[in-house]
Amino acid sequence: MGIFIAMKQKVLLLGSGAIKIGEAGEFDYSGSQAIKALKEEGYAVILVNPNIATIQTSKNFADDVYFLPVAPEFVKQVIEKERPDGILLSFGGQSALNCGIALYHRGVFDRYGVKILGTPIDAIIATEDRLEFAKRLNKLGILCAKGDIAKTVDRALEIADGLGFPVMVRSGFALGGAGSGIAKTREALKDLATKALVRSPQIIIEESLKGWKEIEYEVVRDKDDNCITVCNMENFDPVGIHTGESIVVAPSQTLTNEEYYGLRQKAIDVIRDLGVVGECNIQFALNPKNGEVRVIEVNARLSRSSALASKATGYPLAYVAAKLAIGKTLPDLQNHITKKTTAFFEPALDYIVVKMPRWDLDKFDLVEVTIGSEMKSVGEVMSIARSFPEAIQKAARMLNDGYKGLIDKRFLYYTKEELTTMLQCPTSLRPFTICSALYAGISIEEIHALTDIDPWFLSQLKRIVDVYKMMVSEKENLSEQTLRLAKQHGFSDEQIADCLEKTEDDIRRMRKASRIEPVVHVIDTTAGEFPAKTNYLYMTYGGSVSEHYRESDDQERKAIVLGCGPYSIGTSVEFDWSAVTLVQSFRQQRMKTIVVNCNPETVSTDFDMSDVLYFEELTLERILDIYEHEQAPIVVSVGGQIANNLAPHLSVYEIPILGTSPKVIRKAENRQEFSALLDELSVHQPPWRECVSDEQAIRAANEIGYPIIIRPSFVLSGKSMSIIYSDEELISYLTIYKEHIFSYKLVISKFYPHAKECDVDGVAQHGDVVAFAISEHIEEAGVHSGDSTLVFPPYSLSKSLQSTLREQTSKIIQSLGLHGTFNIQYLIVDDVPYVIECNARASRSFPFVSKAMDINFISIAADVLLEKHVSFHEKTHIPYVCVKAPQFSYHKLRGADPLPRVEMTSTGEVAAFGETLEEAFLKAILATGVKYPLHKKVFISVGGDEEKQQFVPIAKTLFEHGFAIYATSGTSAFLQKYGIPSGVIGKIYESLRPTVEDLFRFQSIDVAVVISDKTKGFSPSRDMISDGYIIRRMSIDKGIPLFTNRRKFEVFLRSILSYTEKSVNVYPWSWYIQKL
Amino acid sequence: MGKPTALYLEDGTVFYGSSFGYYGETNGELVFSTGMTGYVESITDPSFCGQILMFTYPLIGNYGVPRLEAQHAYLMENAESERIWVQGIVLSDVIDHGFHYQRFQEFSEWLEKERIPGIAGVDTRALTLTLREKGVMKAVISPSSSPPMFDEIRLPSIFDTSIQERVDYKPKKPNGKRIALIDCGVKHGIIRTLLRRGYEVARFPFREQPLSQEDFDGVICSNGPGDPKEWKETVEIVKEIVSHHVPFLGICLGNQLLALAIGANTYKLPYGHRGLNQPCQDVKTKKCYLTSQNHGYAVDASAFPKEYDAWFINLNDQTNEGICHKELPIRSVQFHPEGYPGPFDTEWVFSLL
Repeated sequence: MGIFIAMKQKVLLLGSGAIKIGEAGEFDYSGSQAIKALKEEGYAVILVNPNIATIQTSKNFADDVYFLPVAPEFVKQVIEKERPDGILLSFGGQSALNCGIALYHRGVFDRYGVKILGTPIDAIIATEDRLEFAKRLNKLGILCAKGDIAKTVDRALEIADGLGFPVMVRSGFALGGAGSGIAKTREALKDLATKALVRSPQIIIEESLKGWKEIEYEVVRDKDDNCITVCNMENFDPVGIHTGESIVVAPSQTLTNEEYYGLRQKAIDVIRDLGVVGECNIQFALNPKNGEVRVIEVNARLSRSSALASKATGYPLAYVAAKLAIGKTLPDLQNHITKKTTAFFEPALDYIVVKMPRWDLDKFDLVEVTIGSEMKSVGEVMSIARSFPEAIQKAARMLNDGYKGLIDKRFLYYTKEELTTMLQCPTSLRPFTICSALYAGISIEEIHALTDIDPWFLSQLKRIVDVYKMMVSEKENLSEQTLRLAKQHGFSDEQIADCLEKTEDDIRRMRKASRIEPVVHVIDTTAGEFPAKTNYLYMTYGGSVSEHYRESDDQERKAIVLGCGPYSIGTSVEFDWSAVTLVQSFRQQRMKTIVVNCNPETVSTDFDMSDVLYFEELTLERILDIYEHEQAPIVVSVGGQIANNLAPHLSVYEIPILGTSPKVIRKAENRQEFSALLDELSVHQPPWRECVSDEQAIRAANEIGYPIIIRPSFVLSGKSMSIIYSDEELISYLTIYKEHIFSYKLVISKFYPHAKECDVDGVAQHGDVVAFAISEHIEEAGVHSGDSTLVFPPYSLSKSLQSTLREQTSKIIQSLGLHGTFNIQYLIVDDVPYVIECNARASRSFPFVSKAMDINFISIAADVLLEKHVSFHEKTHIPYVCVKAPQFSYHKLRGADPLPRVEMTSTGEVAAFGETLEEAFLKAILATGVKYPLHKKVFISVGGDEEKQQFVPIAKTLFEHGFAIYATSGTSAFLQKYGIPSGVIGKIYESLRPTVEDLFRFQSIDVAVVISDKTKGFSPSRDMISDGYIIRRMSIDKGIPLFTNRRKFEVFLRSILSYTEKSVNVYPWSWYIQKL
Repeated sequence: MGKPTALYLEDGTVFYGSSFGYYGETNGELVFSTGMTGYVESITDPSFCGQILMFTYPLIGNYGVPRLEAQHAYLMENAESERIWVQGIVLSDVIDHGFHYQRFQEFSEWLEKERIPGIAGVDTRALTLTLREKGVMKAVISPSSSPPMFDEIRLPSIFDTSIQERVDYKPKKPNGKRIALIDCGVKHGIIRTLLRRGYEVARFPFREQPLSQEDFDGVICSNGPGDPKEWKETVEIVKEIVSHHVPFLGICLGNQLLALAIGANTYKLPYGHRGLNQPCQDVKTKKCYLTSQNHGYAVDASAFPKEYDAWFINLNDQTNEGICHKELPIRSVQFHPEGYPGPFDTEWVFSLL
C-alpha cells in the first residue's frame, strides 16, 4: 500500500456561548480538550463561540475562531465559508446540540458534505423526545418513569388512576416549568391539570419518583463497541432536586454491589442501543425501598456531570470523547495519568468526592429561594478527601460564601420547631440546617422523613455534629486527640477557633505543636495500583505521609498560582482564562507552575495544564499548608476576588507574593488611602463620606447633594447597595437596614446619573504602564460594569479625553508603584474623568481587551512577574469595533426582578467583532439569545417624565420605520402628544383590556422596552410587586427580549435599522486582527 | 471508636489503628483490593483463604450486611460462600451505620460474630504504595504491643475451601446441558450464574475426577486460593479432562491449573490483581472488557504448546488473562466472568460451554 497523504481534515466545533445558569464553564473545559485532542491528530479546528472570556477562544487553541452566535443562521454561513469535513456537536452543551439538530433538519450538513463526528444525530434526537425514548428503552427491558400525555383533565385523571397517586405533572417546556408539580390526590390533580392545560396544550402525567435516590453514570463507547463507565455519582438530595442543585458524591455511597453493577449494565445497554460514539451521561432513579429502577434522562453529549466526573476521577472524558469521535478506540489511547495503561479502564477511587452547588440568589430581588426541579445555581465546587465529613466540610468552605464548615455557631440558635419547618422546604442552606437540626437533637429518622435524604448521608453529618459537641465540651482544654479528630472530620482552624473562642492562628499553632498536619495525596485513577506520572493532588488529614510527586529537573523557578474558586455572579470564566493564560506563559519560560483551584468547571483544574495541580480550598489555612509544602511565591492577581483578598492575610505570614505587593494592593483598594492619593495627584473622584449614624448619613448626603450611591462597607447582600435621590428615600433606607449597616461604616458617595463610564485595563512594570486599553460602556453610570455593554475602542470619547485618561492612569499607577495587572474604572462627567475604583488585579475585561486588540495582557503580566524587561505594547489604530454584551439568566430564576442595578446580576458575557459599532453590537446581542425583530412590534413602558421625554426621539424613529408600538396608558398618552400613535395596553391591575398579558400572548411582540423612573431610587417597597416588575418578569417568562436601559435600546435600534441578520459580515477573528 | 490495635508487617513496619469486628489477633498474607463496592462478596470469596484483605476504598460498611440467605443447602443467594474467608480486614474508615432496605446487621457486627478482626484508621493508601513497591507480605493484626514472630505463623490449609462430597444443583429452566464443576474454593456466583443460564451443575471435591463417575457436557475448574502449583491432584485431573477433549472452562485458579496441565508455567505477581476494574482484551477480536479479579499468581504465556493460544491479555500490565485451544472448546480465563462483585462484561464466556 502506498503512502497516502491526506489533506488536513478540517473540523468545525460549536461552543456553548455565554455562561448562563445551566451552561457554565464546563463547556470551556470540554471544548478546549476537544481542540487539543483533534490538533494532536493533525486536524484543523474552526471554533464558533461568542464567549470571548473562554480559554478555547484564545490564540493557539483553535486554528480560527468565529465570535458569532451559536445559531443556525450564523453557523450555516460559517459552514459555507469554511467547508469543514466534519462537525462536533457534543462539546458545546445543549446550545450547540440544538443548533446542530436545527442545521441537520434543514439539510445543511448534507448540502455541504459535513460529517457529524461522534454520536450519530438520530441517537441524539432519540434522547430528546421523552415518550419515544421511553418506548425504546422498554424494548431493552429498562423503564423510564411510567406515564402518558394528557390533553384533557379527564385523561389526566385516567392516567393517574392507572399509575396510582401521587403523580408528577409536567407541563410544556416554554413556561419554565410553571404548572409542573406533584399531585397527591385526584382533587389536587384536577386543580393542577386545569391550570396547566390553560397555558399548555398538553401535559405529561407520570408516576412520582419522590424520595428515590438519584444516580448518574458517565459512559464512554468507541466505534468498536468497547464500553466503560468512567464514574458513577450519587446525589445527596433525592429525585425532585435538579442534579445541578444537588450535592453530589462520587463514587456512589449507598449502593450495594448488585445495584452498582446492575445500573452500570443498564447504562451500557442503553448506550449500545443508541449507538453513542463518545461520551454519554445517564441518570437513574433508584427506589430505596425495593431497588426498582427508572431511567430519568440520557444526555448524549458532554455535560456538567461529565466535567465533574473528569475532575473527580482524573479521566479526561472530553479529550477521550473527541478522539473517539474521529475513529480512535479506547485501547488505542493512553491513560494520561499513568502514561502506562490505556484509556480502556474504569478509575478506582481511594478517596471521596463531594460537589456542592454555589448559588447567588441574594443578588436578586424577589427571587424564589427554594430549590427544586429547576436549576438556579451559578457554579459549583468539588472537594476531595478520605472521609465524607472531611470532604463535605471542605466543600462548604470552597463555596466562598462565608461558611467556615458545615456547622457554624451562627446557625445553632434555631428552635426545633423552626428547624422542622426549615427542613421541609429545601433551600441552598439545607446541609447547614440539617447540621443545626442534628445539633438540636432532631433524630436522623425525623430528618429523613422531612427531607427524603438517605440516612447514610445524615448519619455522616451527625459525625460532624458529634465531633463539634466534643469540642464544645472540651472548650476549656481541647485534647490533642479531639483536635486531631476534628481535623480528620474536616473542621477548619477558623471553625475550631470559633468554637473555642480563640483565633485561627492560635489553632494553627496548637496543632503544629502537636504535629497535626494534612498530607498530600496523589490522584492516580488506580487507587494506588499503578504510579501516576502526573501531579494531580489533594490534601487530607486522612493519611499519615505526604506522597512525593514527579519533579522535573530543568525548572529552577516556581510559582503558586491561585485560581478563581467557584463561578458566581462577578467571578466567571474570565478569571480562569487569566489563570490559565498566566500558567501557559510561565511554562513557556520554563517556570514550574503550581495551580490551586477547587472549581470542576474550569480548564485550570485540568491536571495537564500546570506542572502541579492542587484541587484544594482557596482558604488562608490551606494556602499556608500548600506553601509549606511547595515553598514558592504566590500569584494572587489572576484569580479574581478570592485570590486577591487573601493577599493581606498571606503577607501577615510573610509569604512572598509575585507581583504587586499586598501593601500596594491595600493602598489601591482601601477607600481612605486611595482617596488621599487621588487628592494628592489632583485626580477627580466623586465626593464621598463615611458615616456611622443616621444623622451623619443625612448630613453627608446633603453636603454631597443627591443623588447619592450608598453602600455598607461589608456585604449584606446585593440588595443593600442602592442609589438614593432624596431625604425620604434615605430615611426609609436607613430604617430598613438599621440593624446591620452601622456595625461597619456606611459609605455615601455622589452619583452622576447621566455620566458615561469606562474601564481601563492594563499592566504595569514597577509603576510604568506597559499595556493599556480603554473600553467604553454603552449604559450610563448606575449599571454595574459587569452588567454593561462594553465597546472597544471607545466610540464617543474624544482623542484628548482618551489621552487624559492615559495620563491620569499613568500618574496613579506610577505613584502606587504597581507591578502587574490593574483595572481602573472612570466616570466621565462633562468630559472630565472621575476615578471610581482601582483594582490591583486582572479584571473581568482582560480577556476581552486582550482578544479585541490582539495583545495578550496576561502574557505581558507574566513577563513582568518574571522581571523580564517589557516595552510598551500599543495598537494605535483599531480599524474595527469589538462589543462585549452581558448575558443574564433571569429566565432560570423564577420571580427574580430582571432589572440590572448597581450590583451585578449577569452570569456571563459574549463579544463580537464588526466594522461598525452597530454591526458588532447586533451580533453580540443576538449571541445573548435576543431574537432579531421580524414582526416589527414593540412594547414600551417608560416611567417618569424625564425618561419619557428622552424616549420620544427613539419612539419617533420606531414609528417612522414602520414599527407597531404598544404602550402602557401613560407612555401612550405622552407619545400621542408628539404625534406618535400607539396601541394602549392596560397594566395588570388596570381594568383596561388588552392587558400586557393579552398582548404578550396574542401578539408576536419582538421586544419589550420597560424603563423605570430614573428620579426614584430606593423604595421600601422594592421587595414588593410593582407593575414594572410584573411587566418585566412577564416578558422574561414569555421569552420576549427585554430592554430596561434606554441607551442600550437606542444602539439596538440603530443596529437593526442598519443591518439584518443576513447582512452582517461573517468573518473569523483572524480577518479582523490581521488588519492591525 | 474501637480499642487500639496494630498492624505489623513482615518488613517491620507498624500501623496503629482502632479495632473493629472481633477484638483479637490474626495473621495472613496482606493483599489489597481496589473495588469500591462488594465487601460482602469479597470477604466471602474462598480465594482469600489465608489472606488479610485491605480495601483501598476508604469507606467500607456503608450499606451494612444483608441477611445471608441460601438458595439451596449448598448455595448462598447473596454471598460467595457460607463463611468469611479472609483472616482479617484493614481499612481506613469503617462505617457503623449502614442504611439499606436489605441491611440486616452492621458490617462490624457481622465480623465480630464471625470472629474476624479488623483494623480501621490505617493510612491504606500509604500501605498500598508500600505493597506496590515491596510486594505482598505477611502481616499480623494484634492488640499486643510487642511485634509478633512471623516465623511461627501457621495459615489455614487452602484445601479446606473445597467441598467434601459431590453436590448436585438443578436449574429452574434447564437448557439440557450438564456441567461438572471442580471446586477448589468456588465462588457461589459461578454456580448461580450457571443455574441462571440453565445448566445442571454437579460440584465435585478438588481431588475427584468427575469424568470417572459419568459423562458431562463440560467441566469447569473453579477459582481458589494459593499457589497453583500446590493443587497437584487437580492439575492431573485437568490433564485427563483435556486429553479427552471434553469441553473445559477454567476460571481464575482454573486458568492457572489449565496452564500447568498443558505444560506451561505460573509465577507469583508482586502484588496481584484484586479489583473490579481490570481491563482485558481479547487477543484475536481486539474487543475489550472490564473484569473482576482476585489472584496473586499469573500464567506465563511465553511457552504454550502449539495447540494453545493466549485468549485475553491484561491491558494494564500485559499479563495473561486466558488460554484457548486453537480448535477445541478448551478455554480458561484468569478473571471472574460472573462478577460478584464487579462487572458482567464477560458473562458470555459461560455460553461457550
